[in-house]
Amino acid sequence: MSYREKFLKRYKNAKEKIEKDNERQYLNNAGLNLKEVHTNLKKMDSKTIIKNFDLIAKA
Amino acid sequence: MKKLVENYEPKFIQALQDWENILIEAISLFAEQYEGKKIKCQNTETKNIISGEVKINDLKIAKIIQNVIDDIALISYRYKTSNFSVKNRIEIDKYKVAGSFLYHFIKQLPLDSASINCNINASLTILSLIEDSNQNRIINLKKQVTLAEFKFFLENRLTTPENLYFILKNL
Repeated sequence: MSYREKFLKRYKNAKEKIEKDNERQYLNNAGLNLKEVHTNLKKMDSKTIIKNFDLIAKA
Repeated sequence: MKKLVENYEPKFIQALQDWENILIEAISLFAEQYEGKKIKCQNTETKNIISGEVKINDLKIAKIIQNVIDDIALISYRYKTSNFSVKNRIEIDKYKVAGSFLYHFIKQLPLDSASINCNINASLTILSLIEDSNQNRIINLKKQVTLAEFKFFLENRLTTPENLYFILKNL
């Protein structure tokens, strides 16, 4: 295997690791956002929740 | 890169991928020549000399390349300079690549030591290894800018890949 091929392999492995990390980070953030939404929803009464969903639907 | 460019024309995406390969090729040539070699760096202000071994961090290199590809996609989109009808890799302005590459390369490294001079030199050497399809070396910035000038560009934390692109383009 030439040096270039070896280096390409190193690069591909590193790129794969970065993509996995980014994906994990994205999912973690999405999870945190959902948690926040859940917490906020729990604090609201049903009328406010419906009103908010109506606003979202109109946006 | 996937998210940023998914709506671009296939030819443009191909041009970005070509640039990714070109950068890998240049860094691979650099690594083949220097990895593991002992070098000395001098801090131009304090005149202190430090010696060390050239190490290539695969993760950092991959991050730099990914950031460069994202940048040139974004800058090309913003300024419509490639018009999304790219026939070959050279139609993406080489200074966009150079500016972004220098920015991300140096951003990964500490700015307050002698090693910055080595790192600026390394980044300029990598860029100088890039060849067009006729095997002409197309980004030779070493003749155009002094190390001190580069240091000034890069030490200014307000410098962005976009600013560096305009600086390099107007040299």
